[in-house]
Amino acid sequence: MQNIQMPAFLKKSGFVLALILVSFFLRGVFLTALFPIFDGPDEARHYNTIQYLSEPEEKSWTINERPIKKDKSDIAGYNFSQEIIKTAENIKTNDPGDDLFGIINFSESYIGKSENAINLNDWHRYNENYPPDIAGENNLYHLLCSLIEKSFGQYSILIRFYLIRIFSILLGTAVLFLCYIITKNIGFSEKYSLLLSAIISFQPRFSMHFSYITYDDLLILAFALFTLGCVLILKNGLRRKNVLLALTAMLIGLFTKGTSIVLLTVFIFFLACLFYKKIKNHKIKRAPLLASIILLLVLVFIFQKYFDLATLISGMNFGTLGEYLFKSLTVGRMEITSKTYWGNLQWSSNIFYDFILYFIWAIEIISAIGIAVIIFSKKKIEFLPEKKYILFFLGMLAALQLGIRFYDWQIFSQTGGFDLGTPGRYFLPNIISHFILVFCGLVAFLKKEKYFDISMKVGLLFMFFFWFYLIIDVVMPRYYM
Amino acid sequence: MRHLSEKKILLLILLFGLLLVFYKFISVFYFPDSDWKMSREQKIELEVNKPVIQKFRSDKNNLAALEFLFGRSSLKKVNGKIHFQILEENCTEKIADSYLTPQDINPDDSNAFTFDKIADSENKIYCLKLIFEASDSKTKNPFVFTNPNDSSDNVSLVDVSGNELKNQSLSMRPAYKSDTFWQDATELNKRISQYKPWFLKQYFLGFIIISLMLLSVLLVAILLVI
Repeated sequence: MQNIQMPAFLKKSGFVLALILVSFFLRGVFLTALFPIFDGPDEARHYNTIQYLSEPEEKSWTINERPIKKDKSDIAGYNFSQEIIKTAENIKTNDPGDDLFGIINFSESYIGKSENAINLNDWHRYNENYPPDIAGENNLYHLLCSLIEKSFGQYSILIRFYLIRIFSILLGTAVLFLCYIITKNIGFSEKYSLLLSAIISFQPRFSMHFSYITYDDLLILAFALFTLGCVLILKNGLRRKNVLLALTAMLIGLFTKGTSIVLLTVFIFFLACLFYKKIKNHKIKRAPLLASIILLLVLVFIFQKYFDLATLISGMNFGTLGEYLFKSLTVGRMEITSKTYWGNLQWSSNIFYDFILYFIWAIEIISAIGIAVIIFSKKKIEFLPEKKYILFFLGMLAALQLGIRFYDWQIFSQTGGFDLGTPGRYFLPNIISHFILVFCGLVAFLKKEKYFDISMKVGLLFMFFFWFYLIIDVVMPRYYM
Repeated sequence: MRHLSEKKILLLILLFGLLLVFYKFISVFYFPDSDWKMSREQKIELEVNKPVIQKFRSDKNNLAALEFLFGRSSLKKVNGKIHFQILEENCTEKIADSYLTPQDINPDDSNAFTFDKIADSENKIYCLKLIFEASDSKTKNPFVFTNPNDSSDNVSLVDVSGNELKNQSLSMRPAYKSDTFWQDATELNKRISQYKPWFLKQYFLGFIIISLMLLSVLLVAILLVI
C-alpha cells in the first residue's frame, strides 16, 4: 500500500495549530448551547456578581436587607437580581431538585415556552436584596465580564449570558495556545507540541469548564501564563520580560481567585532555588538579589493582608489533621475527584466509565514511576524536556494539591465535613503540567521516539473518543433526550 | 494486515471509533415527553413475579421507550432482572418486552426500557407491566416510584397485590421517535435551541455542530499521519 499523501499546507504547524484552536472554540460554543442557563457550578452566583459589578454607582432603587440563605432548594430565596430569579423560574424543569432526570418542559418549536417573556427584558437586573449573593468583590474575571454585560445592556439576558460564556471559551482557547508555546519552549518538537495541545483540547472537563461562567476560567489562564513565565526563566534565565510575565500571571491569578496564593508560594520557592544556584556559582550581583527579595517581601506582605493569611494560620487546628487525612485520602474520595476531573463520569453508572477511570489511573501510575526513573537517571533522553522542567511541573502539581487540601482541611476543621471537597475542576489549573508529565513519564518505559510518537497518537485518539462519547452519548441525552 | 502502516491502522481506529460513538447515540435517540412529571414521592416494591400494572395513554405516534425511576437503597442486593412488558389496553396481547438488570440501572437518573417504535400509538391506551424476576432467594426487591396522578394520560395503576392505587401513577415518561433520522435531528435541534440567543439557535446551531465535527475529525486525522 502507498503512504498517505496530504497537501503540504495541511502539514504546516501554523495550520494545525489554528485547527486546534478553532475546533476547540467551536466545541466550546456547542457546549455553551448544550448546557442550560445557570447550569454550571455556582453559575447563577457568578452571573449575579457580574450584574452587581454592572450596577450604577448610585443605587436609586429600594434596597431590602436580607441575610444570605444557605438552603439551595429555591432560587427565589437567594439574594440575586430579579432578572436571574425570574429567568431561572421560567426555565425550570418539571422535576424538583438537581436530579439527573430533570429536563426542561420543551415546546414544539425552536422557541421555549417562556422565552418570549424572558426576551421582553423588563425584569430588574440589579440586586434589591442586600448583601447580594456574590462570589467576591473586585475580581478580575467578573470585572472583565461586566464590560460585556454593560456593552450589551440593551439585549436580553440570553444574549448577555451566552456572550459571557463565549468569552470564557476564548480564555480556554488562549490556554491552549499557551500550552503549545510552553511545550515548544521546554524542548518538545513542533509535532509533539501540537499533539499535546490537541490532546488537552479534547479533555472533556477542560472544554466543559470553559463553557461555564466561572472565575476559574481566568485562573486556569493565569496558571498557564505563570507556567510559561517560569519555563522561560528556566530556559533563558532571569530576564526582565520573563520575570514580568510570571509576575503578571501571578497578579492576574491573585486578583481572580484565592487559589493563586499557590503561585506566589511556587514563585518564591522557584526564585530561591535559582538564587541559591547562582550564589553557589558566584554568578549573581547583590543589587538584583536584594531588589528581588524586597519585591517578594512586599508582595507577600500585600497578599497576606489581602487573603488574611495570619488569621488562617492562627486558626489552624492540627488536632483534626489526622482525621482529615484518614477520611479524605480514600479510594472513594479520590474516585470522585478523578471522575469530576475528567468529565461528568458520575452521571452514569455504566461500568464502562469505571473501566475508563481505572485505565487512566493505570497510565498515571506507570507515568509516575517513569518520572521517578527519569529524575534519578543520569541518561538524557533526546526528545524529552530537561529534568529542570520536569521538577518544576512536579512542584506546580504538588503546590496546588497541598493548597487545595489545606483549604479543604480548614473547612473540615470548622464544620467537621467535606463542605468544600476536592472536585476535579479545582485541579484543572495544572492541566498542562499534568499532561506533560504523564507523557514524559511513559518515555521511561517506551524508550524509543517511535513508541513515544505512537503513545501520543493513541492518547489523542483516546481523548477524542472520550470527548465525543461523553458529550454526545451522556451529556446531550441527559438534558434533551 | 502486515502491509498496513501504523498510521493507517490509527486512521481505521478513528473511523471505527466514530461509528461506535454514533451507533450508541442512535440507540438513545428518542425524546421523552417533558410534560410528564417524575419525582420520588412514594415507592412501590416490586415483589418477585408479581406485576405492577400501569395503563397510560400515548400522546404521539412512534412510542419508542418508557423511562422510570428506581430506588437506590436495595439496588446492590438485587439479584435478578426487571422484566418490562408493553401490551394492548386489555393487558393480554403483548407488543414488546425488555429487561433491565441492576447493573444497567442508574438510581440517580431515569432508566429507559426501549423497544421497536410503535408507529400508530397516538391516543391509544397501553398496558405496561413491570415484573421482578429473581435469580436467587436471597435477593432484595427493587422498587419504583409513584407520583400523584394529575394527568388524564395516566389511566390507572395496580400494585403487586392487585389493588388499584387511586390518583397515583408510576413515576415515568413515555418517549418518542420520529419517522426519519432527519426529523429526529430537527427535534434535537429544536430542544437545544430553546432558551438560547439567536446565534446559538436553529441554522447557527446546525452550522456549529457540523463545523466542529468536520474540523475535529480533520484535526485528528492530520495529527495521526504527520
